[in-house]
Amino acid sequence: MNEGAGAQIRSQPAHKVDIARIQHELDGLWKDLHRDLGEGQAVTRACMSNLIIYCDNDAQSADIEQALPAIVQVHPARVILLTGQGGTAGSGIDVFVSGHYCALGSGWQVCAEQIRIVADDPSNRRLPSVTRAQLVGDLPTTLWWASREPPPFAGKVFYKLADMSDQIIYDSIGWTNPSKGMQAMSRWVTAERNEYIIYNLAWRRLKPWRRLLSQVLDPVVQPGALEQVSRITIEHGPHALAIAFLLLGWLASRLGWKPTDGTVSPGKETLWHFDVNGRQVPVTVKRLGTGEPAPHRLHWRWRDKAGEHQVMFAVLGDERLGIIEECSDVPVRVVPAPELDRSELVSAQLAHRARDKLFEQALVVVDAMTSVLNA
Amino acid sequence: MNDSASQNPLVAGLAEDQVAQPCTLVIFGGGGDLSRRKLLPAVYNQALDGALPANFAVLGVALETMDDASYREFAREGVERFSRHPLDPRHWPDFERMLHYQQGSFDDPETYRRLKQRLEEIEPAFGIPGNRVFYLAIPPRLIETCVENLNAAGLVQPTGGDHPFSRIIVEKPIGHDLDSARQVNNILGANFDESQIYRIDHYLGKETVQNILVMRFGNSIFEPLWNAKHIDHVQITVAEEEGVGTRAGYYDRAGALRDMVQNHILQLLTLIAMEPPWAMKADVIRDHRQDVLNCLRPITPESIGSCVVRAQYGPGFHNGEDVPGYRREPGVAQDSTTETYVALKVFIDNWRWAGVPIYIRTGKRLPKRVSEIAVHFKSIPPILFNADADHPLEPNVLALSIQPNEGLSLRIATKLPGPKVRIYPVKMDFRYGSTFGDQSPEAYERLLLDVMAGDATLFMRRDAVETSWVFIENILNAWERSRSRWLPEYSAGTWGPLEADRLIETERRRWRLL
Repeated sequence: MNEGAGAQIRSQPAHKVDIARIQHELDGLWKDLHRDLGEGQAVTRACMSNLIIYCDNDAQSADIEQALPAIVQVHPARVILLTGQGGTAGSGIDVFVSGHYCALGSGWQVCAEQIRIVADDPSNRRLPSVTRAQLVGDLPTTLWWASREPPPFAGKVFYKLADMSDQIIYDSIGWTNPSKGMQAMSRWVTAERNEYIIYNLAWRRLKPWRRLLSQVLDPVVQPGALEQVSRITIEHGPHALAIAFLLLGWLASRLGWKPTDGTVSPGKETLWHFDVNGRQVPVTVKRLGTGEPAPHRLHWRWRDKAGEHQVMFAVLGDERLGIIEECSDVPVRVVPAPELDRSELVSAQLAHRARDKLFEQALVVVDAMTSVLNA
Repeated sequence: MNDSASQNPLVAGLAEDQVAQPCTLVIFGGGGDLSRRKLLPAVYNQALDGALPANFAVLGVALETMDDASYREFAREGVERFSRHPLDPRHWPDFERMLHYQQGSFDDPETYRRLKQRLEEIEPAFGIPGNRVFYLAIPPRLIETCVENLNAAGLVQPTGGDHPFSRIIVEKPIGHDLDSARQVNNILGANFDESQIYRIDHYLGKETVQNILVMRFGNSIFEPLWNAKHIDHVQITVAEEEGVGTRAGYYDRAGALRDMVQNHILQLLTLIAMEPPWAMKADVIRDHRQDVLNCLRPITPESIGSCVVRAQYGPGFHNGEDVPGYRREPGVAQDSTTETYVALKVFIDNWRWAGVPIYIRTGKRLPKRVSEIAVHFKSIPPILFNADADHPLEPNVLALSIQPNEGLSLRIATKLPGPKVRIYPVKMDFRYGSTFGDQSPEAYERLLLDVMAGDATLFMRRDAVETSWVFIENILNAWERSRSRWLPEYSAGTWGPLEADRLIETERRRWRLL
């Protein structure tokens, strides 16, 4: 067995099996583990969910597989890892099974039975039926759409996998056309929100920003900052336009702003105007040439009788966010902003069983924002 | 001011994670053991988890001679030794900037004048709008002087309106009997509104304890069985393996009944026994818990012999080593009659619990540190699989483990594989640590955040404290009247005296082997 993420988890190497014998082979993993451990060592199983993961190709699948031990250590699950356009040995579909185990007291606990199913392009339409047969009954099912393709553009395979799921997790970071993808996704989420819990990992990445903005701009802390806002600028790294959209969508939805027009300067910035209590407030979303795919700085300006004020929220590195108040005696404050990796984001989201209405409301505004662009 | 969500639309949706409001945490006794082991590590963990308000500062107040720099070193040492998250050198410099210290005597008004001055310096520098949480990590005898001086110095804001908030956290014990508890509450009440007072019992911050309500009212299978018709009895165990240690001064005056039963155990009992609340609001939950306390059958001088056993540990073993008896512990009087163990049989006289005994045991120098609530369901009728009177089936038991491993287990009967019908009890086990993987926050982390967010659900209200004392005082008075100098003794490292076994075994029940 190989040591996986952390010292506590071990993984058995995957071995190829016949589709008809998947369950039999999984049972065999249990027996092997019992035998290897010897008398007096208990093996138990924890399983909180079925986790279906869809990848486009083998490289993506291998990348996800690296992240799995850390996910199932936090959220034990039956994992069905699908590759839609993979390399197979001629059969069209290849299946591999393996297991992940955690040390538990005097024995071991199975925290994931993993079934990796690789289909070549012509055979990927068969993936949903193979998947359906491997789900553990009576457990919530999550589809993690790891493909680079926004779900609504993916066609039948996505819809069939979504049909057997309660929750759909996707990640808009890295989409090739984020404006189009966000618009399509916003509309699809609005249409399907009663059917599934739908979640964008980018939204969870925004949590430290949302928390910080809500605290620092609180009317008690900064009177007038929300109501008298006069200009906002968001600067983000490459491939993070979608996350900047979401941040802005959240602010606008919470504060009741309406987008009136927007102009795109491709690859540089997008300028919106929002109607804020009858005033036009410009909001600029700027793309930086380098850096992490995340928001880097947010400048918030507001004007009251005393003049213009500005607070800047900035990533300082080392998982820290800074709050810099210009023209104020308050010194720079620095707060931890844990940057969760993909495993942590997914494992945290798997436990959530309720729709996030704020996210849905933010997406509605994002849809409106993309609709007025260069209209 | 207290209802941040109504003024700040950005707060919405963050409520699930507690919206701690900007404030200064003032720790009286900031240089003490509780601060070093629990409070400062809790604040540090909250900071690393991103749960603290951005505008936040800590001001420790204590007699020890320290300045900001040495207080930060003191905090660092506490975090290094006791924190859930290891100290992260990337974040420590930012965190320690929030920590401040002021030396002073709690009975000196000058301390409070300087405290006010210091707060007025710190708050603008951290963008804090005057909100303050005062944590009294001090001996109970200092509460009065501390609270009155706080008020006299103008450090307590009224509730309502646009005032910044002032909240006060008071550690147990609240008094050592009913009169002294009322006295403490009167002093608190004269200087703070009840809505500003948070009487902390860290047991209520534990995950399993909070899970009691979810388990009972979030599942459909338990609540229909949760009554006298289906439950035979309940056992609550809070066992400590340590002896009195360095707490002899306090403990020898308190004893197990005051130290554990009056607060932790009666609070656990209220959660197990309460009726379904109609909303998850602080006062709704606390009203329902209070109803349970109101229904506790008083223990009288006549019933005490059959309902209460007290005992003291004698010499014995701990981890294979000889350990002295209680009266040989440093700081303990050689003729002490303080109980280090108590077992009780209590009844809740309401419709749901009529006639169901609740057995409680707690003590020091027991074989292991374990806290558990076990609900024993009634046996099935003596027919079919339970027809053999010599080998009755073991009844179902639902056990909620509070420490050291938080979780729950259910004992059920199953058929052993094979041609014959042979029945074996198996335990279905759920543990927080192994199922959810993540480390649970410490109880103090959760409770401190609750105070910053203004949520008093997990804190004791005045009426709960005083009703608990009424119940306990009946027992104390009966002991007092008995004037007996004799206490049963149990060997250190055992599960208590024979008398405690008899308390439960006379009714054909047994203590659980934990």
